[in-house]
Amino acid sequence: MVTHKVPDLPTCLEEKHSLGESSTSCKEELNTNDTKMSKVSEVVTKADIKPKSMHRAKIWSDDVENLYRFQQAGYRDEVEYKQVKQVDEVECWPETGFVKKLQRRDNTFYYYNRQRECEDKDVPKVKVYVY
Amino acid sequence: SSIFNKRNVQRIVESSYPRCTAMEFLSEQSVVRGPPPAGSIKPRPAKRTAFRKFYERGDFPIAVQHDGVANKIAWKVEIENLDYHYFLPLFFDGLCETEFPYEFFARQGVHDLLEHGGNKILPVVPQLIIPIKNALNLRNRQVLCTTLKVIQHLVVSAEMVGEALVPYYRQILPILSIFKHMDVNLGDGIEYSQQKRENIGVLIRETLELFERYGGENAYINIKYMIPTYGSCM
Repeated sequence: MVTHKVPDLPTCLEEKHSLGESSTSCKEELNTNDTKMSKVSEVVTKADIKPKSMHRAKIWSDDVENLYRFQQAGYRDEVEYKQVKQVDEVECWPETGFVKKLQRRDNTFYYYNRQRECEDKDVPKVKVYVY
Repeated sequence: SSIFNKRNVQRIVESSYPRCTAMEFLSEQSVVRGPPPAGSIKPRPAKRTAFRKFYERGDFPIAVQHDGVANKIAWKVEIENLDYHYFLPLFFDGLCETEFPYEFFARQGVHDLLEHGGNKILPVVPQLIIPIKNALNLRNRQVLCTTLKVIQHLVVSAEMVGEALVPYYRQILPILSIFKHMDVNLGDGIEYSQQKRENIGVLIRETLELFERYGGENAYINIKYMIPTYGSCM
């Protein structure tokens, strides 16, 4: 999958993340209002995350292939897709790990093949964002 | 006078070779015309397909994208929620098309449906035979190449599909038998159509080999019955 440098999250958000993933006893203590507020704050904070720089890919790799598929669907990368579509996971092929299905901004669906789709001539067109 | 006079010879020749006059037969440069060509590999004209009618009516859940992506169609509905009994035979019917955008949407639509169909494909196989047969019967080279690639994808798309196709070999294989010899012997030259997967002879051989691999025990004998010149690959 796509790997990129994620900026250090503020500690409060980290605590809220850890609370969200913690054991059931912690979850029972939280009110539903608190969880909703944490999700809203997560969304707001993630929307603020923007890449610092961009460069073009030179050699094909699995990450470049997935970036190609996201950019074909009109997104920068997996981060923006999850931010726009409010999903936790992207549907991928289990054998190869490539992206299988994406929903575009106009709510139509793009389906991708199991095998590589990004040809060598398209590799320099793929944008790699650094956060 | 001799019985081999001009009049007797003329009668004999015209009775035996009604299409050739006696003077033509007797002249040194005469060539007897053979039978007319049967046209087995001559392309037939395509009829208007149901795929074109449904596409123009807007019944398909596909959207046209004009943003520069050349080989993708956008689906308005998730493929997993589509009724394969309705849509898959329609898209297969579009394989007969040769004009843009019908040919592109049919080919790409079939590819997407087979790629993501899973176990929904097997019950629909009997309904796909007539569209496949119609596409092959056109004898159009481009349609043949596309249809053969689609058949190859169909065989490997889901389990038991290869075995489900065995009873329908008598519908599909006669056309493959006609075009099986269309391969080019260039010696040590490079056959670029083979590289681009447009060599019909090679495509037919690949398809038959897939039929044999995925068709089960009875596949080879059925293929051999329809195409006696086929050799086993297993």
